[in-house]
Amino acid sequence: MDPSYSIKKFKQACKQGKSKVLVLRYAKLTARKDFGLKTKKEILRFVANDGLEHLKFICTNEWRANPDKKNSAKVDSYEFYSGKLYGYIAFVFIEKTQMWLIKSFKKNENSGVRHQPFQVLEKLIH
Amino acid sequence: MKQNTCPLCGSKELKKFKKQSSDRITLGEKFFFEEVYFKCLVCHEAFDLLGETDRNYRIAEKKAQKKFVKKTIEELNKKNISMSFFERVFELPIRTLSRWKSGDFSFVSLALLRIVKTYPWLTDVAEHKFEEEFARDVLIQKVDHDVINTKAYNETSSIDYFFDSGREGGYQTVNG
Repeated sequence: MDPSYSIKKFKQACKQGKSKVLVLRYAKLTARKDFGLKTKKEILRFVANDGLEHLKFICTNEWRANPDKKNSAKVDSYEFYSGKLYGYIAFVFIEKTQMWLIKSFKKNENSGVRHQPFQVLEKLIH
Repeated sequence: MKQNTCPLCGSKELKKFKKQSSDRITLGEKFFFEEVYFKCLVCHEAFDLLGETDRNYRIAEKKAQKKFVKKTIEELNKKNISMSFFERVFELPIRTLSRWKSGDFSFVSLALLRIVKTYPWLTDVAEHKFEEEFARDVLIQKVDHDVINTKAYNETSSIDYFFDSGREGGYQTVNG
């Protein structure tokens, strides 16, 4: 499965700033609580300046809360690291307004590769 | 971005909410700010449409940071780390800490104060120009003083474990 959007374009939009990217209220709250990114500007700068380390695409799904029922939109989800913090980010591109929307930005609840110390040994078995 | 239009669905049915929120600066006190957000009554999503929350946050945060800087410098002073000593060992311009105390500080200033507040003995290391061997000796003395002398610490096994002279570049085993 391929991402619906170019991560490069998303980062570029974050670089351009507030006028191109929206952050949902709840995503902002978790970005502050989990990553210490206190304002929308900080979140966008963090993304634009490669703060999302070891970025890995998870999946793309239909945006179920899409208010525009006529035009479907997809949500791209990624996992990333910031130091030892394991994170999750999900975003959508809204065609109607030509804006990006960060839906989620929080600590990843799943266990990542770094949290599975023996996963690397799997390669020895197979 | 239009003030009265939902940026997601284009609806004009927006409701404004205000909420008292709080946060805490690292090693500092709690501060309060007003969170302002809009909720779209059509798509039900909520966002800080006008950036008001972020502005309120920054203003409250700045006040809390000023208090933290002043308090930390005073605390360090009580530990015989005077402003002029601090400036000298960290090679800062004279009266740097006076400026910080009066509110003229940066995020880097905050970071340095936090580090020294947590590890005041770093000023000794700085005075010795961060010389590696001295830094290591100070750290060992600090561990010896703070860790090894605690009740819960098993002297016999833990001292040998901690000072593993078998490690590459390891320290001498300390017994006692």
